[in-house]
Amino acid sequence: MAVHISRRRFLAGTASAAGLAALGTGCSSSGGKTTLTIMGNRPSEITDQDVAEFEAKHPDVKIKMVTVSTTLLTAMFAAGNPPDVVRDQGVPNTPYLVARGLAENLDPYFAKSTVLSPDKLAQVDDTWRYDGKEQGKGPRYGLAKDYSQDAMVWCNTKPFEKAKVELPSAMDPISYDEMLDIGQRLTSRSGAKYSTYGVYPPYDVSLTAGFLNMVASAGGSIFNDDFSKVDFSAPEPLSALQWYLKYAHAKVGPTVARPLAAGAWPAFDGNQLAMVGYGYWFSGEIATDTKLQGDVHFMAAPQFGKKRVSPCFSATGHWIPKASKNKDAAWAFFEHYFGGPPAIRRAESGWGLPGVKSMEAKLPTAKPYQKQSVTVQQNEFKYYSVLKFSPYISISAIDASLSQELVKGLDSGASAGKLADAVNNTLNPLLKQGKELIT
Amino acid sequence: MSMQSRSVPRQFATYAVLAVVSVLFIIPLLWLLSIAFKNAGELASGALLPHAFRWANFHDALTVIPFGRYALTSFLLATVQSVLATLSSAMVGFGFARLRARGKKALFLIVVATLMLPQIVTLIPTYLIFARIHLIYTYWPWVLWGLAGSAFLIFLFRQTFTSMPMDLEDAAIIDGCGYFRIFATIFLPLAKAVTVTGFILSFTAAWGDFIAPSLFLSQDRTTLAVGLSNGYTTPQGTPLDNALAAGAFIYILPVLLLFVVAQRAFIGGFVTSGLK
Amino acid sequence: MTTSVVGDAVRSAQRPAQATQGWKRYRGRTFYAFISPWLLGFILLTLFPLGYALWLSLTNYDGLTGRYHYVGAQNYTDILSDNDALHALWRTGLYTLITVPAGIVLGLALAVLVNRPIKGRPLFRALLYMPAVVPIVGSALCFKLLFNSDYGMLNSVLGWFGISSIDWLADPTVFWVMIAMTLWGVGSTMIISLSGLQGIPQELQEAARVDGANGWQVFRRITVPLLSPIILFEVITGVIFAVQAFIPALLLSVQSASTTVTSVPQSNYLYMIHVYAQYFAYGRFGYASALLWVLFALILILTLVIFKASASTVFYESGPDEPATRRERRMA
Repeated sequence: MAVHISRRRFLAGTASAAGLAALGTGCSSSGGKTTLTIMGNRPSEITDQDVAEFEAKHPDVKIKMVTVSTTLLTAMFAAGNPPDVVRDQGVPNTPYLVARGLAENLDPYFAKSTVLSPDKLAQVDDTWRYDGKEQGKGPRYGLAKDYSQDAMVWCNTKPFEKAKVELPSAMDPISYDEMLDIGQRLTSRSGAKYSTYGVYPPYDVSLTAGFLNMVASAGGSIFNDDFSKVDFSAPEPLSALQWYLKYAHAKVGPTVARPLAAGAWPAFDGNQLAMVGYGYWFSGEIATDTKLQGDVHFMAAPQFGKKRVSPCFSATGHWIPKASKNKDAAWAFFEHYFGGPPAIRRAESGWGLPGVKSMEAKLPTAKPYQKQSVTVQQNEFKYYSVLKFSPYISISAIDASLSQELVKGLDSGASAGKLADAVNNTLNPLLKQGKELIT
Repeated sequence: MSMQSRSVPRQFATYAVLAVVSVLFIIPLLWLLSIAFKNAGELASGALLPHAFRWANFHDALTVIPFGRYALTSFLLATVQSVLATLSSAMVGFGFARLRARGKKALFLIVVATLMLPQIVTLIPTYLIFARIHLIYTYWPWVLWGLAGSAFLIFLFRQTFTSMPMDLEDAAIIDGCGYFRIFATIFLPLAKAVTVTGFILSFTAAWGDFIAPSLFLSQDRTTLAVGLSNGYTTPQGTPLDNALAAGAFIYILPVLLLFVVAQRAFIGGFVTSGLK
Repeated sequence: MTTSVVGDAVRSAQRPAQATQGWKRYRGRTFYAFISPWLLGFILLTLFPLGYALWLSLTNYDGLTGRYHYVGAQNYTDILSDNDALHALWRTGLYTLITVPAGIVLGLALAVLVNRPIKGRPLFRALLYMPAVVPIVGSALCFKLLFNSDYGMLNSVLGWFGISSIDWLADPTVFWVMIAMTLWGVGSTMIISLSGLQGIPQELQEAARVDGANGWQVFRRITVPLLSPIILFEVITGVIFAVQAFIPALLLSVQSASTTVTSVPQSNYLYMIHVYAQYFAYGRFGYASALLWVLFALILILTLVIFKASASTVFYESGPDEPATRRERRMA
């Protein structure tokens, strides 16, 4: 049966190509300084100012950015030379990264830190904790730079006025079926050409998380108790799949088979999209267009089932690889980026809720739309909930399988039950293999 | 060539078919060009032609993404790879055509066999290996691919050199020339057409390649082929399809020009190589 | 044959028998020196990656962890029960079955037309060949813009007749868009066929005409047989090209930041899309490598079958293995 072979021996297989390596090495020395390699998005998330400030404060450290990409990350790990700081989403990835022994336990750093002591951290940072069994408990492995409750919805009031549809309540959630119904009344299209999309439900940030949110609201789960299996045929996941197919067939918004190539913003900004399932972070985007600001309405997360939930889908932030050779410099960057001026600037911009509690006071409220969205958000905090992910499978695999089966289902008119079976059949062997690999 | 002997209806039919097909073939490029000159409103309305040439799209095309850097990378990689591949293939082709050694037949069979080998089969494993030895996110793979030559070009050169008369090198050998001098000073200059063909083929292939740069290069150091497909948006993410079309047109232009300039030699190269 | 005998005779006349032995050794070494770039490249950039993929295909390596188990032939047997792989294989087969014959017939027909002595011939040749040099990213963009549901040219034109917008870039039409885009590059086969046509001695065809054959008969009985080696070449390269295609499918599908490679429309879900997804979306490096090896084996078999099937129909003028005579040289 399965024979376990050490990583070292596996690598030995490539040793004969090592002669080529000599060619590649001539270009990475930088004279005495520490080079802090960050896999992150510059300038959209880590701004030039953030970097300049950090380098001024730490003259012995030079920041080198590399593109965010799983394939590159895989390659850098395979080469034994991972980045020192990696951007990732805490919600879907923490168990996966920790179970594979990739991420450094940051508890000792937190214990010593004054800027980022655990009592200062927002609830969302718990998504970056994992004790080997449960997400939200145990050591901290990363931090969220900001977050949102991503199943909430933004409305553009212009299409509502045009279609003479009343705006839903901001505080009291509507149901998914009501959302679909409103979406249908708002949609206007001729053939495949839409002049108005009624609704883009909360799937754009993450298809998988969008489903988990629905399933959680219905009181179910796609995973079994120890996260070693998925069951999309269980009643709650199945009804979520059914709802997706219903939504897609209603032709009221983008789907996996017909996505908005440019994302939701251009359509929303152009009054061509009435409702979009985005969290508070979208207020930062709205801030870029003063014309739009009078026409937006932020509302509570619609509920698929009886249980009122409003989870964070991503908790985007950074972690430090165990194999990093510059962990102290990486932590210095953490303190600067998550607890220093960059964090304050982010909070003030409205691009998401801060990962440090005290900074919540910095959220912008000067304009009416900002005030409305912060008020709605304050109320929504009460319903903050946590999605749970499996350590045995990557979210990209779940995303890939879900979108593939949905595309197939939309094409062929297959039933939700069939799609569920197909997803189970694809993912369960992967989960099994994942479990075998890490235990 | 007796043009009169062709009947008139036959001439007419030839023209008609060629004209229709040519128009069909040129439409995609004209539509691209038309969008490159439209403004955003004309794009959305689906108008066939722009009212006025909006040159600003071309300005956007060059400034919204780091077009110059991408283009330079594309040019550098394509040039290095194609020059190396052409020279190295010529050398190897010469070896197979003009020299004798044990194992030559078997080795040439392998060359022909690699012609049949889908590149994609080796590309992803190569990527995994290169990842381990720090060669991804560098330009070295292009140098290596260039040096290794291309089976197709080796084949072309081999055919060309084989068809040259034996007394060419006999005289040189009598004069005491080494084979490398014979190759460089006698044979290579005679194979000008194939050399040009080979260079153009490999340059266009490298310039147009999408898979290798998207796997082997990071977004900020990548080539135009990959760079084009991302980034033509306003800072807020609204797509700038007019600028994208303009950018794509500028991207296509060099290979079109290269083809037009070298057209004669190019088609000639195919003919003299006796591709059969 | 004759010239090389002459060549050897010249050489042996110049050198005593003893030196010939050394000469042979020198020539052998020189041969290996000349082909060394290719030989090294072949070993390091082809053989080694192939072997590496074979090795991976026997494991369940998942990329990020670096841990894996040896699983024997499991990955290969899994393919048989992977409906997506079989679906992808079928779509790839269909794509190949359509584009290869269509490309060859169209290419040959156009080659015949642009080989006729008509005015403006260079212009037609250039226009028809031009799309073949347009890089894939460019041609995919061209076709995406032509068939865009909101502002594509086709929908605009259909709009004049009151036909409302059609989403061409979705199932099932996107498959035909991909076929059209592939055939748009038919110029490359045209140019190869054209070079073949020009290599056919004019006298042969004229002699047949004098004997009373009509144009079609000349084409069938003389041109096509003489072109058969070239057509064989086109079939084989065409099949190899088509079977490994996936960039057209990828670039033609409407993707957003939140979609993955697996959301490529099902009719364009080609084999290599599946392989790519297994590597980079599912992280199944072992399984994906097995899929690659299966593709490799399939291509080998296909090529052999094509060679075998063509053995009786392909007509070779002469063995291409020996240096040409002076007469042939003059003709070229």
